Amino acid sequence: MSKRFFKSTLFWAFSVVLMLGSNSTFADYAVVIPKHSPSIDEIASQIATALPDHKGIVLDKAEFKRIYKGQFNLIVTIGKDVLEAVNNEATLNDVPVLSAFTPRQSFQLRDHRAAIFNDINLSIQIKLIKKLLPKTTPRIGIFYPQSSVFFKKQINLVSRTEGIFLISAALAKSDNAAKMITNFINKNDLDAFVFIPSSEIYDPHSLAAIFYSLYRNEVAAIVYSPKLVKNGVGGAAAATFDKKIVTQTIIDEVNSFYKLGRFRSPFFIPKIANIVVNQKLSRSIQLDVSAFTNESQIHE
Amino acid sequence: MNRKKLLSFKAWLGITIVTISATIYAPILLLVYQESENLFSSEIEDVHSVISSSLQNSLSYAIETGNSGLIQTTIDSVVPISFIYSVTVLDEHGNALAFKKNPIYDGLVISELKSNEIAIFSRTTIDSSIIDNDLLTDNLDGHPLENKLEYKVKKLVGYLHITSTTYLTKKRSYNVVVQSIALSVLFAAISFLVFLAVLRSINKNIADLIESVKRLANGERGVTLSEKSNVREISVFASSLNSVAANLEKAWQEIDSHEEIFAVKNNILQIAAHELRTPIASLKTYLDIAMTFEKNNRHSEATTTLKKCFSDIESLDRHVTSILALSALEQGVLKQNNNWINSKELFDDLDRQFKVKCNSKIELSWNCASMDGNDYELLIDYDLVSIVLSNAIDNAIKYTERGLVDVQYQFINNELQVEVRDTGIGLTEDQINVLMTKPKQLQNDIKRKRDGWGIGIATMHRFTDFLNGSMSIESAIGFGSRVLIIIPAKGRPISKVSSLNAPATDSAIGEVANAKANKPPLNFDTKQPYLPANKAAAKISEGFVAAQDGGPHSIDSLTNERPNHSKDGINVLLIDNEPQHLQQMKVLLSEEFLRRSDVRSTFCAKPIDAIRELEETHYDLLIIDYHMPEIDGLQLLIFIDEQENLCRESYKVILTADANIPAGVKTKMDLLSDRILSKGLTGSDVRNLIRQVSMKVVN
Repeated sequence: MSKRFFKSTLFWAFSVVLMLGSNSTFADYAVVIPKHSPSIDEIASQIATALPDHKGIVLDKAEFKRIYKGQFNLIVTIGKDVLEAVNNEATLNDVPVLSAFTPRQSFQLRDHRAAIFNDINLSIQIKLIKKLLPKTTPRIGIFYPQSSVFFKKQINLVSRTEGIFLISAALAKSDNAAKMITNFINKNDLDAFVFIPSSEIYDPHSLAAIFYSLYRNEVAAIVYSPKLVKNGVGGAAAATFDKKIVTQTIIDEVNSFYKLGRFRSPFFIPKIANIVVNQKLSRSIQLDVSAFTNESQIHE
Repeated sequence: MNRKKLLSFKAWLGITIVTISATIYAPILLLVYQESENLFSSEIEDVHSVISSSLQNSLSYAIETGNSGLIQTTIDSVVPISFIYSVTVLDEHGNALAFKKNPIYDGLVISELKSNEIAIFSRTTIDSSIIDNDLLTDNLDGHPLENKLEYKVKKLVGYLHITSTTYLTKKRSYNVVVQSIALSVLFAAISFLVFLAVLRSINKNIADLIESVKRLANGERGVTLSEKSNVREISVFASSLNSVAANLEKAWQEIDSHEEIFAVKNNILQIAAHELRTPIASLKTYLDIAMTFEKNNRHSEATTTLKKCFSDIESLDRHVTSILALSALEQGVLKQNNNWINSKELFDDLDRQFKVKCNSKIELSWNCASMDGNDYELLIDYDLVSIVLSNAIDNAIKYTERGLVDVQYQFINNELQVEVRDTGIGLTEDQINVLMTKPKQLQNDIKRKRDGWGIGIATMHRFTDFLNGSMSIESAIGFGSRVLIIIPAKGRPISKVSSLNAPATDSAIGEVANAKANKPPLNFDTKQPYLPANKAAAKISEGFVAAQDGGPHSIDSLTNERPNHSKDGINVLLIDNEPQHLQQMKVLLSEEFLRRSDVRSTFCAKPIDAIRELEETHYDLLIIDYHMPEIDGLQLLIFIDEQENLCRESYKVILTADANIPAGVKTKMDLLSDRILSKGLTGSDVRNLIRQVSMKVVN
């Protein structure tokens, strides 16, 4: 029996207790998940049991609809589907909802809503590039969606960082990033290119084509997910947030909510990232990977 | 027997080479042909696989990013494939992005073109959850499939339009087949040349082997085979064959030896039977004559006849001694038995023995004497020396009809040297060479051209060698021969005997001696070289001519008178080359022995003389000796039978001392003669014979 199986069994027992007790014992907040699975249940249970003074309960989407009678003062949603379901429920408009593990475009900025984005922190990615190209003033390119205010602000903020040149291009949804990238690289003489998670400007094929073009032009592709680094997909290095970091950020914000009685900010981004490097590819394009191991981390 | 048709080893080798070549080359050719047939389709499959992997990726990236340079570079790498005529790259909407034609088809008119369109897909492992960085979905961390590259999304980005032709492929496959056939022919030619070289190297050896075995199988002798060969088996075979041939030759030699010995023994037996029987028969006749003389109180004539008997007995004794000595010599048990012998006694014995025989030939003189008039006591083997000398003298008398047989001897330098000279028919150089080549064994090709053993030379050789002596012959055809015999011996002089050169005291030769007394003396100088051109020889020849001129039928002088042939009475003709027998028959046919006076007898020593006689005179009785030189008795009978006027109707009697007349000869004799009688007739036999003829004549 695996450790994972053991934990999930405990969790189910715990969930059943909470549900049975929900009619008689009120829970302070609910952690709503799309559906029960060992990995998601593990994250949700960590969040639900994190605060000693406040009770949390884990419910899947169906359970939440069936038992919710306005008795929770905070709802934590895990995943895109749950967030959309909560947003569509008018009775919850005044209930504070903290969304996590949610794509940026699913989040609607309004009152009593806050989100923890998986999007990588741009300042962390710039730090990573400076470490990979320590002896130069790297020229860094980035595409961002024209409609995204968040990324525009972030880019403006980061572009003021010393020791780099950040060249950005706002792409409309109809633009073909793959066809634009070669001209963009040659025109700006780039050393590195930063990818942001955006299904608006990238699709799987354009992303693969862009990786190919960057590699042919010896431009370092800095990505946000280890899946884009491993197995030779094309990313040279990634500053990534894993579930553990995001979970801890959720717990911190739930705790802050109960202390302050409100959310500190409408959205949050983790300040610590793990570093994943494709050593072979990086060396082939003359990146300095000597400072990185498999378990390296980088802070904002 | 149903004999299977056989092929030569060359044919078998050729068939084997062709079969092996066909077995090796045929599958190769078939394979090459099939491979060339499959070439086109396999290349098509190959290009599909090529395009669907690396080219697909390259083209999809190039189309996705709009990189026309990369597209061109990519199709440039595809176009050189031989069967591709042109390549066109299209986007997903069918718009042409790039085109390239294979330059090898420039200037060629291609009639068969096929088009093939391959979809170009972009494939990636990136899915939309990664794009949105959704941490909840698809947790690959620690998953077993983490390292497996898995394309999750497929997107059509364009088309690769390939126009192809089989023009060059077929041409190339055709060339491959032609080249393979050419190579096969080349290999076959090389194999054939190697085969020829090998065959040539062993062919002669094998042909020699076959020829030698064939010769050996046909019984040929002296077959040897060269053992030089590069092929070990052939060399071993040749060696073995030579060994077999050598063994066979050895066996043949043994067989020859045995056959030779058998023939010689058989011959000797036949000759001995005749030669021994002849003196015995003669003795019988002489004794009968002697007894008749004694009965009629003719003591002197009886004594003479008994002396002739003695001579025959000595001859018989000499023959028997010779046979015994020869036998001992052949068996290697002969020993030399030396005794002190008076040379005079030795040569007196020879003189006594051969004088009678020599004197029976009326034109032949006899002399036997010491050269220097001295005699010695000699330490020699009397019997063996006597055999050697007897044979030499016997041969001289046998082959000499007229003239002289002269025997002279001397003892000098511890050697007894004896020279026997005659004025006979002589010998050619070749004959001398044959005679001087000492035969290993007794001659087995004895021809009875003359009466006698016919083994004289062989005997002389064998015994002379045995006595450590030597023998040499000089001769000329028509002028006689000279034989010099040298026998090593110890000797001591004895007092001179006055009678050494005395003429024969014996007058027993009777009429023969008297007849000879009228002949001119012959001067035979032994010191002169023996050449046909010398004077002595010329004198001898003249002497012979004179003797021959004395009358055509010299033997007629033996008769008391020429027969008075009348119709009354009986005419008898006796033909025999043996003078002694003629003498005996003359006595038996005399009036005194026949006790009738109407019988007239004529005696001929040669058949040719007898034929002349028959042409002139009619004879009632013909008595013919079977064994005669030149023309034998049977041949004479046949001749007479074929002639109308040669007394065909006369009473014909064949006389022979040979008991082993071949059956065929005997049959002919029976047909052509009236009687066959053995030699050794008595007076009674002759009287009975005359009585029968008389009755036939009367009838």
